[in-house]
Amino acid sequence: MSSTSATSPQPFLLDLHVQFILGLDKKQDEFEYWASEQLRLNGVLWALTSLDLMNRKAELKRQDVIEFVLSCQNEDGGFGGSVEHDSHIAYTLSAVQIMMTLDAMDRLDASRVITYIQSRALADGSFSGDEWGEVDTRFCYITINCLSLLGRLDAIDVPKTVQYIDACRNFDGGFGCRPGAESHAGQTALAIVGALELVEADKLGWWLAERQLKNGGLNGRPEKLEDVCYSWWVMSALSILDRVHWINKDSLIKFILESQDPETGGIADRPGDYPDVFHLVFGVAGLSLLGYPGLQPVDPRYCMSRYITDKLPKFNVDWKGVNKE
Amino acid sequence: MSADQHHQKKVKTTNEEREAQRQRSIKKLAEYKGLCSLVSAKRKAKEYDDAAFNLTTKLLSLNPEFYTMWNFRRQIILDRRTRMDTEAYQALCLSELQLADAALKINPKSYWVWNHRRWILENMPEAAWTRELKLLGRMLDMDARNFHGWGYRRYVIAASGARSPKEEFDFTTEKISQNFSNYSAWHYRSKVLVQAFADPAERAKVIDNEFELVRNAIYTEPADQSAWLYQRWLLSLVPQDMDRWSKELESVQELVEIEPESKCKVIMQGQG
Repeated sequence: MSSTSATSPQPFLLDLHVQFILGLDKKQDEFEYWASEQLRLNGVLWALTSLDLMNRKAELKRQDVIEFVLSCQNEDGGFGGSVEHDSHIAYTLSAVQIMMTLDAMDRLDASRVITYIQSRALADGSFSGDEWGEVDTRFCYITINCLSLLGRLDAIDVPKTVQYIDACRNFDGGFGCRPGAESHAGQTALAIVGALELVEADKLGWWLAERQLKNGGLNGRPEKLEDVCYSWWVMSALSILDRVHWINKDSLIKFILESQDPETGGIADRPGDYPDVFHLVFGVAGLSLLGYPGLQPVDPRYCMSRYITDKLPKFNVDWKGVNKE
Repeated sequence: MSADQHHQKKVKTTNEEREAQRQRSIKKLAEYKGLCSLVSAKRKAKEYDDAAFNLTTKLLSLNPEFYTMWNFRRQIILDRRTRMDTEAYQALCLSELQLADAALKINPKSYWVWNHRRWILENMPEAAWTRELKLLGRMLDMDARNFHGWGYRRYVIAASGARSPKEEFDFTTEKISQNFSNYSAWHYRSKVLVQAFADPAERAKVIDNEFELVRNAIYTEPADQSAWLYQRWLLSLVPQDMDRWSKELESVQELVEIEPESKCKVIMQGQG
């Protein structure tokens, strides 16, 4: 695919993306639809958030989505990726985010969710993803995100978790998934939401800005290929650090627009690849952070529309642009 | 909803090809759904028998990301453990590692499969660390940047004590000499260097050599970020050594003249 500046950029294909999302549920006679069932709840969140950012939330049947979400809750209080799938902290967050986006928190039994999340806490301040013991800074982020949406950050020992995240910080300013692990843009975005006071903003901002490649796209680690999803992870972190202007916005917008599929709608990881709803939501959210017109402003902490998170009580993170009074 | 896809080039297909693909998919789905309903009944009845175990094997071969099946499998393994002698249980765990080998061949970045490996090692009578190190060598040969592989390597080394920090330092030398761009190896090097060389005099000597290695890397691939980032870390180890700082600055200035587009501009601005 051409990326010369001579060609005019493709416009944002809003209607086609809506059609792409609505078409996702119409492939139920195919194996591939069911082979991804384990992350259906995430799929619903990505579809709903994409639609919401495009001001088309009403396209999904609210009542059906709510009933589906509730049917994924297990006895332990956590949510599985679909009905009859085991609980995991990641799907638990997705469930809460969906209910919040649909303004249906009154239907959610929050105390059971909180009990589940508390049961994932480990002695060193980290969290396991489920009862089988995987530990990752992603799960610290999920916990803080989820409890802040529920207004219950008091349910865990936040300073201890912050201490754990600090132990995952590297010399380049970024954060890894465990102490000693290589910095990764995704982990970094997640880590700083929980522990902004730890950050050396200029050093980290430099490392993040260096993720941009000549074609405008961003990568997740040094000397790796660009991918639309890092338009979200890198950009959300830069936005929290108030350093979005450290990258070339126009060339990134162009890269995201070129990654759209003009035949089917949807956005791919990079131009010319198959589109999917994961890259669609992070592409659209990235465009929103970049100030692309016609989209809802997005909250870089949650990847949810600001009109939703503006209703939340303030928590420890404060930065320019968001919650600024 | 489709799963997230990475690096799959879109190919033009004819209507006939699409229809044939659709028919195959529909047939495969019938088998898959049949297995799902059988296993669902077993899970609800908490039946941890051989039939249940074999169902998880089949389902995971069709869909290795079906994490609830890995969980159910581990429940069955825990149940079997109570009825097996140590030798038989050890053999069962080894066969689980083989199953995970096969799953990683299909998807080397599956969190669920790496997690299953770790759980097996932590729950087997005699953890097969040597086997794991061999596998890890192969994984990082296939993809030298696989962060699951590097993370798992750190886990295996820490849990087993099978290799010293110095040996791991030498391992990163090997990886970096294969490819200067391997930032994962540079990163790991920064972690093992301080463990491997605790004695101040010895460390000072090593750091000298490191600056030389970085210089070689930078002159070989000036546009590559890996060595620049590592150089920045090295300089942070010698904050008071003004000779070193001016020497590095000189070297950078030389390079700017030869390679005006290289990353060193940033370093000069950053440190200057």
